[in-house]
Amino acid sequence: MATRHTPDALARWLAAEQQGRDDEAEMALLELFEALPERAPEPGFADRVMARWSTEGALAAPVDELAPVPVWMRWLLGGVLLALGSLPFWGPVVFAVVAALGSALGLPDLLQTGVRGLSSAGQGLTSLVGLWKALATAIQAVVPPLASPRVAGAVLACLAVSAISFRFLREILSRDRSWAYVDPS
Amino acid sequence: MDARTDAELVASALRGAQEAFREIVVRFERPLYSLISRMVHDPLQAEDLAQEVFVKAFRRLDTYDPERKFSSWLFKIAHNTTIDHLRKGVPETVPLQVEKDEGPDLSAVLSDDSMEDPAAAVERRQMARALEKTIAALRPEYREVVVLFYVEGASYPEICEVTGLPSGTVKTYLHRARKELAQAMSALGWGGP
Repeated sequence: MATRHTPDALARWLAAEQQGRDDEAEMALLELFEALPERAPEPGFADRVMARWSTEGALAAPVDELAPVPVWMRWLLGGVLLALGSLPFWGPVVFAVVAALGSALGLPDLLQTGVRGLSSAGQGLTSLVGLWKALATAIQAVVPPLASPRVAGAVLACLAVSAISFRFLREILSRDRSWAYVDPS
Repeated sequence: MDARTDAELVASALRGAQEAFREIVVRFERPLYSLISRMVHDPLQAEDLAQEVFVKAFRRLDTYDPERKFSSWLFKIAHNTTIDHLRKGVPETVPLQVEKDEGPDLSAVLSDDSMEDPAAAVERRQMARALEKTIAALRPEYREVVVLFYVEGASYPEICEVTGLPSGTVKTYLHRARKELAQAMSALGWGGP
């Protein structure tokens, strides 16, 4: 290809690059870039942004779905859901205790029968759900050591560390915006 | 042009002044669009993303620290928005219209006495077009720092703030990008006397 007559800044830049004069090359390239036509959006851009802001701005504000619910209510709701979800594990034990108390206090046989029935239902539910049963076995194996305050403390500490780590990791992953992960070509 | 500083404009916008929002857009639409359009290549997507950047900025205006440079803060949002957009893998659309010829109209160049001679003006435009082409062929991470440094005049610390890269990496990217641009321009026939 035939070489063309080059504008002065371009010639100076390329010559400086060839001769390794970095500062000079940078200055010449800066000069060259000043000659580039400026890119601008189509006229009326500000109007379009303002229109979008007026429609999207308020709508897209971060919304907390549970905002009207007080914090204590959220904890209560979470606790109730957790308790209901884990009923197969603690249900039989509680029912058995209630039944034992009932017989010790001489409560009517009817109540005892009812409690036993509920206990049986809980056990039946546990046996029906294989996953829950496996979890129950695991929890039963884990619970006795947890009776020790030291072990319980260590477990809680581990859980706290892992939860905090997970949160930080997630934040880092979502924050890390590198061109290495995109392909704009 | 509004004489208020960027920080004053932001404060005014935070108090709810609509004209301050508009002034922010007018003041920064060109540099933001310039960066985004060079990263996504598609004018329509660039316009959409530039709008999105302003809307995001307005929504989070209360988090802007007036001690820092407002343009860097905006460019950071543009950087994140553009990468997020490209991460989604949105296919690039090709505009139906013929690519607009950048720069002043040739007839205007020829008729304007104050401008350089027509042959030189045409050559300068060809050279500008070739340079844009070589910039577009750079790796995106190089392209971004080149546009920020050479087109927008951002300093090294500002580029570090926008891109989240260490200073050494920014300098390396700029150096390598400059070498690649020189090679590409020479390959296009712009190297001779």
